[in-house]
Amino acid sequence: MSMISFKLMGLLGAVFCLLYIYDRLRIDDRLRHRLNNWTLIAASLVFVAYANLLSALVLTAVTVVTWYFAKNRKYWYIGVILSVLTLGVFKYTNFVVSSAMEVFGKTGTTLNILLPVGISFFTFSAVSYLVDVHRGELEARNLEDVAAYITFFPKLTSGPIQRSGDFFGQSDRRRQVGMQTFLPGVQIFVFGLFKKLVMADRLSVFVDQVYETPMIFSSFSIFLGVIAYSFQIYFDFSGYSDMAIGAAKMLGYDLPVNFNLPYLAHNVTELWKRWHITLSTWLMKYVYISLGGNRKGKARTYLNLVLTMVIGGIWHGANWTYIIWGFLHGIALAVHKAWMTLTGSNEKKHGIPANIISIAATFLFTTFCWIFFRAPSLHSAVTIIKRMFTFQTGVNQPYFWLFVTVAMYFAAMLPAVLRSRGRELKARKLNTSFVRAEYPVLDLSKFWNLVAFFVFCGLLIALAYTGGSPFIYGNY
Amino acid sequence: MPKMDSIRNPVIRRIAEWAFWLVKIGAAGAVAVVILSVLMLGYSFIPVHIENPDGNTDYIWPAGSVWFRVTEGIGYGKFDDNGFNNPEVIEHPDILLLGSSHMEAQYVPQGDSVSAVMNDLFGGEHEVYNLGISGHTIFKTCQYLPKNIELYKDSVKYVILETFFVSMTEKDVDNVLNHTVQYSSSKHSPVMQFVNEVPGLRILDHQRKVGFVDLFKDSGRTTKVFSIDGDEYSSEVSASDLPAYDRLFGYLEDIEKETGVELIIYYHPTETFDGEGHILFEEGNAYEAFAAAAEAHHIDFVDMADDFVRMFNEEHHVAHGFCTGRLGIGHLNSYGHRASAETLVRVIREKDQAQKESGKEADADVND
Repeated sequence: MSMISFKLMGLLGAVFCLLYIYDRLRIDDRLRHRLNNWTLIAASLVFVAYANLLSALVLTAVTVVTWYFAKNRKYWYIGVILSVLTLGVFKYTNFVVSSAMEVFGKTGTTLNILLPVGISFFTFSAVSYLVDVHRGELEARNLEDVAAYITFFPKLTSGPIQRSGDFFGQSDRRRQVGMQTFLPGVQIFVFGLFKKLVMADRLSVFVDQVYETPMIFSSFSIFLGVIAYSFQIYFDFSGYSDMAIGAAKMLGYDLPVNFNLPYLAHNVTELWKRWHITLSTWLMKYVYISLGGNRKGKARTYLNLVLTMVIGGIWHGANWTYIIWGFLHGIALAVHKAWMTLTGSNEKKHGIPANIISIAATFLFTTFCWIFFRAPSLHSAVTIIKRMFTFQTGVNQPYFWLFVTVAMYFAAMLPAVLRSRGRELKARKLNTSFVRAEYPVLDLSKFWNLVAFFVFCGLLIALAYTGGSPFIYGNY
Repeated sequence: MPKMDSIRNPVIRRIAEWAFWLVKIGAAGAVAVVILSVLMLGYSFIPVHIENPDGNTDYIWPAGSVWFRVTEGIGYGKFDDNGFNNPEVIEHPDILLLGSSHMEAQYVPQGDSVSAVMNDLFGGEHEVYNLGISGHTIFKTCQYLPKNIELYKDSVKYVILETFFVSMTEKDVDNVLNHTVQYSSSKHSPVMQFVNEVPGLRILDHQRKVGFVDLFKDSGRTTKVFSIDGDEYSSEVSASDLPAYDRLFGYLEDIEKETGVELIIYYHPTETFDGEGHILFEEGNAYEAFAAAAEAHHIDFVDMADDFVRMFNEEHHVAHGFCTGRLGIGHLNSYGHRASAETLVRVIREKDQAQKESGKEADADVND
């Protein structure tokens, strides 16, 4: 079931109605809690089983394994190993087998293992829960609570990755479900839908053609195509995250913010505090720190950073392009950390020109790395890079929607920048920008707010690209 | 919200509150449509088409109305007093341009259309009048051909029939010969007429038609193949349909003989690209059958493929597609219009020259 489908909306509507009714029944709070949990679990299993039954079975198995080994804390690591192994088998077997065949010069068909829906993300939830229980940050929960957390359908397929403690903190208390959750939730959902259908999908038309047939384009057009992908993936993935946050909000849950104007980052360290925040937080907490973090000397710190990002790259997919993408980011993080240590520049204040240069440089570096992320193969990535930097003639395509999208991005960003100016003056560290994105949630009981929301919905329909383009992170 | 506290009955009070909300939502929706309509003036502003009293096309546009769109390409202009996309009516054109939405050219500035560029290049030598209308495929233009020649019989020497595909079936040709090619009516229900006249509603209806709703169906999120005028055309035809070519071109040859007007079929195939950066065109038996039938019936067949390849290799321009979408997909862009106009002007000048020479030879024969 896609995040953009009538079926999801039907499911969301049905769950909302049931939670709304439970909220108004004069029943014991514990019974209400259980009814809420089982309704969410059932809806989540329907959501997954709709894609295929295998996904529902794997999800159920991982949930039960997680619950069992968290309860038996002594063997918690077996739960982690089993969860990660499940992910590995489904996600990387094809890659390992085909790479091995290549190395040994064998030909033939590889195994075509179907990837269960959301496995990358529910594995994160499972591992996070097991480690948190092991570290004593959380008490082990019953199966019902664990299942509600791991299977929670708004975040299941592409996140945001919610910490178990955060989820239980919300599910344990009495949540009011009604117009006060529905209206903000709908607005955030529509905001995400706009990012996806209008901005990301429009850009996908150009990006797809540049990456499919780079040889027909001039260097300048390829440069624009590469820039366009930076914006496409941002609007695609952040749009999805917004929709997930909006859907959860309707049901009375607050999912963590996943993007915070990432292309305003002054350096790579800050970028990862603004881009896919829940993944980078997860990687830092459960991978980087587990590897030793910065506790084992400088060299080891840099190595841990590189290793963490390579693991992050591999998580995206079994392809050398993702490994290089992760490696480049890891190196950049290590270099930035070393630079900060050497110069102590995080204590300095910088003027506007320095800020602009650092933001632009970070954006260009990120954009360069996205070439490896987007290209279907290493060869294709190299072709794009070569063509872009060797002043090739070819078709010039000043893609209209790229300029529109960038203009909309800046227009949407401006209020956040202006609001944060006062706070930014107090910033002491270079990698701590105080610019914060906020959802434009309106009070729809006011007439003109209602008009503004309807106009926004009208623009969404009017400008949407109707050619169809799947979610980028639907593949991971 | 107005005070509902004065209503004592709780049920009626509740109903009144809901009624108030519904009215508020309706009013907000109406205001939003007005605002959206204003915003759409800068995105897609096309008048509503009307019946053609002359009967030489299915429909025309309101005389003198302006149009603007950035939905595919960036196009703008003003319809002439006959309701076609020309800056002004040409009373005695000697070249008629009949064709589909490509010739109607609502995707480029009016001055960039094939007919406008041809008029510039001819510089008064010939006068080209564009009668292109969306949805008028080669079958419809062939059906309307006798009517158009009759309307302009005093001046017309050449008629250019545009096509972007070369496949046909026996049924298609039957329809041409029997004048039963599907008619696009300009009569709408009152509701649809209202929707068409309000830009804010019209764009929503347009998006519905081009698949916005499908995006929310499970099958709708796969990338779709673009097609012009809602149909897809194959490059292959079945053996049983091959006789159709002879029948259609026989029909055209008869018209040519009866009227003395020279017909030129102008074909602009859409491009694809391979991984090495080469431009490709679809190949198939439809093209061969089309070209062979044109030759057999002495109808000029102008295939733009070679010109498009030259333009791509030398100038790095593609004839179809815009800066708003995918290259090689969609309507003719300004480069495509210019290349087509240049080729058509060259072809017509060659024909003029040939006619002059054959005229001189005829005079010489008479003098001898």
